[in-house]
Amino acid sequence: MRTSDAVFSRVFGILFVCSLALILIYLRRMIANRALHVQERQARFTLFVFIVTLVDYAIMASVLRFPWEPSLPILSLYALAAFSIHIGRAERRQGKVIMDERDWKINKVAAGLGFRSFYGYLFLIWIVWCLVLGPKGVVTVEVWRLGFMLFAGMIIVFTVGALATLVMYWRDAHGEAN
Amino acid sequence: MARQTEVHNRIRRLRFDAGEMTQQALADRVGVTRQTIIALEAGAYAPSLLLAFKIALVFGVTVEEVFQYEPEATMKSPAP
Repeated sequence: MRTSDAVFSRVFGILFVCSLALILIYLRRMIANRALHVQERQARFTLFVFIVTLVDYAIMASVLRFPWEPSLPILSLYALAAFSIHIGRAERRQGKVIMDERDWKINKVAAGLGFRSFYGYLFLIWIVWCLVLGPKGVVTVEVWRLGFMLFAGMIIVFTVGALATLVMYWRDAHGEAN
Repeated sequence: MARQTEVHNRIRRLRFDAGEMTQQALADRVGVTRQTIIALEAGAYAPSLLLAFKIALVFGVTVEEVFQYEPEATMKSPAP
């Protein structure tokens, strides 16, 4: 059973407002939490936005049984992760060191892992696509599906990067007894 | 437990010898974050050559007096 456009818009609107409020509250918490690394806080925030997006998607998919076409606007909630640039801004203004050589190293490794997973995802998705639809289906893929695939890939890059960042900081934290 | 690097150091000892210098004070003087000093002291991070020189300079000692390289093979091999 598919829902009407009006119901879809209303539920999506409510979910969007609630998600935005939650994300902004968590952003404030991450800006205020000076005990953690800036990069670690940014990674936590990115993962939080990812979880909120997934929950919203799950609600829309399971409760409303919406068609595939509006997937992109729901996943676009993930773009709110860009707010992470506000984390650490105050410290930077105060002239504090917020990124040093160790952080850049972690950043580099995490970004590498993110992009590697993106290549893996692209490889996998095109193989599956080709197996399901055949070569002609791959050639005539609709624009919205292509956008959805690339956007999902972008989500994978940032989420895997954030997860790798947290794991690396977590590993280091085991030696934090001072 | 954090994975140990093959580079060992005496930063904690040197900090206490230098009037109980705090990790934050050392971090500020060498231009890194306190967490990096923590990771260094725990042996979880091997610094760049530049950072190693900066730390040695703060304590007024040579790099060798702060950092020692002990390859795993050397540590595991039995004494002659």
